[in-house]
Parts: sequence; structure tokens; C-alpha cells
Amino acid sequence: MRPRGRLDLLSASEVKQRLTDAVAEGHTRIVLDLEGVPFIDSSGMGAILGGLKAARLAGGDLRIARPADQAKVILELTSLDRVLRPYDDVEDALGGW
Amino acid sequence: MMMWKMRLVVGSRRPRPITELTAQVRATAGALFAIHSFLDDFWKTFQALHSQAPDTIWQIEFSTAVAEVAANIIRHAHKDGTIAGTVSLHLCLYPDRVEARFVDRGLPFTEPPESLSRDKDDGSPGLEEGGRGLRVASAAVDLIRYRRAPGGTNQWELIKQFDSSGLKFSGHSP
Repeated sequence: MRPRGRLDLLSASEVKQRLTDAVAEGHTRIVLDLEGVPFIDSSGMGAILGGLKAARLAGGDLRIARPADQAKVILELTSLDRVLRPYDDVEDALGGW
Repeated sequence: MMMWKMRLVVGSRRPRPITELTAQVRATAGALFAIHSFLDDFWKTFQALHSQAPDTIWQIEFSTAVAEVAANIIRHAHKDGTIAGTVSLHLCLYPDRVEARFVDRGLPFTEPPESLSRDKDDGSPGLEEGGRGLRVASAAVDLIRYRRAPGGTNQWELIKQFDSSGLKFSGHSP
């Protein structure tokens, strides 16, 4: 999936819905390509975590690729980089699947 | 709709900001777009006036903290915009730090500072989808302080020093 624009209070619910819909449709291994996302806030991280939990519950996983510097900062500030390791590119994120 | 004004301060004996920028936005989620534009303008002003601009990550941390507090005000003090009002954001550049001050007349903030830490006992992050905003803001700046003023206004203050170190949170109710 390739969201575009800021992932924040305004867009978080839509992104979470798209992620959970994708899982419900059987796409349980998801790579979220964040190249087009210049900013993520805690609401946006919540949406990603919602997708991650849905994917794992269905036996899959969610990985993130190509995060911007700001996304890396918020991952580190929340220590969520321990559960959402950022991959440098989509191909790396797909590795092992 | 957003308004902002800038004032350049020179020749003062008292420690005063090098520059100040104030914006006023309606307390709705749409205001976040304006807040980001305002921050972008602030950093441009900063680079024009300050000889040693902090690195990009430093700026990202401060902007992220400001955006988190703005979102918190809109979401909680103004119930996602259902409680009408405005939020004013005042950004100040000093020789050694940057400050942000929010003022709004929404509901008071009641969450105790202890709740800012929700990591598990082993230090690993939980997977809760909400409740991280102020923790992110606290981690990104040197000081974050909340005050419910006697006149019924919420006042948030964020300070980030150029030689950033340490983490403090200070909050109190009326």
C-alpha cells in the first residue's frame, strides 16, 4: 500500500480502515510504502498499529518501507521502531515472504 | 482561516525573543494543515535570522511536538471540533532555545503526567493505538508544561534548547 500525504488526525481513520479492509480481503502480509508520507503523528502511528495487529491476528504481518526522516523520528520517540522495523526499500521489506 | 503576524525585536536590554510568530486557527482538525504551514514559515524565518540553525532532525522533533499538542487540543479540549473556538500558537526564537505557547478556551486537560508513560514493565512499547501524543511531545522537547489559567484558558508551553538534553514534564491544574 502507498498512502500519500500526511498521516495524522485527519487521515488516520481512513488509513486504518484501508489496512483492516485489506486484511479482511485476505492480504495478511502488507508492506506500507511510506515514501509519499512526509509526516506521521501519533494518530497516524495508531492507524499503522491497528493494521499491524489486524495482520498479525490473521497470521500475517505488516512492515513499513522508505519512511521519511520525520517518520523515523516518531518511531524512535515512541520506541515503536522495535516492533515496526523500517526497511530502506519495498523489496527489502518483502524479503522472506 | 489562519492569521499570523511576525515581530522582529532588536535593541532591547531584557532577554527577549529574536523573533516571534503568532497564528490563530479554528479548533478543527483542518487547522493541522495550517499549523504545518505556519511551522514551515517559522523555520524559514529562523534560518534567515539565526546564524546557527539546528539540524533537520532537531527541527523535526520540535515540529512534531507542536503538531502533537495541537492535535491533542483539537481532539480533547475541543472534542474534534465539536466545541467551537480558536487556538492561538505563539512561536518564539531565542538565542539559546525555541518556545511554543498554545492558548485555547476549550475543556481543561485532566490527564495526569504519569499517564504519559505507557511502556510495558520490560521497557518495550505497547501496541495501543492511542494515547501517545503527549508522550511523543514530551520526548521531543526539553520542557512541556500545561496550565489551566484562572480565566478558563488552557495554556501549553513547549521549550527546546539548542543544546538539547534531558526530559522534563511539568503540569498542574487550577
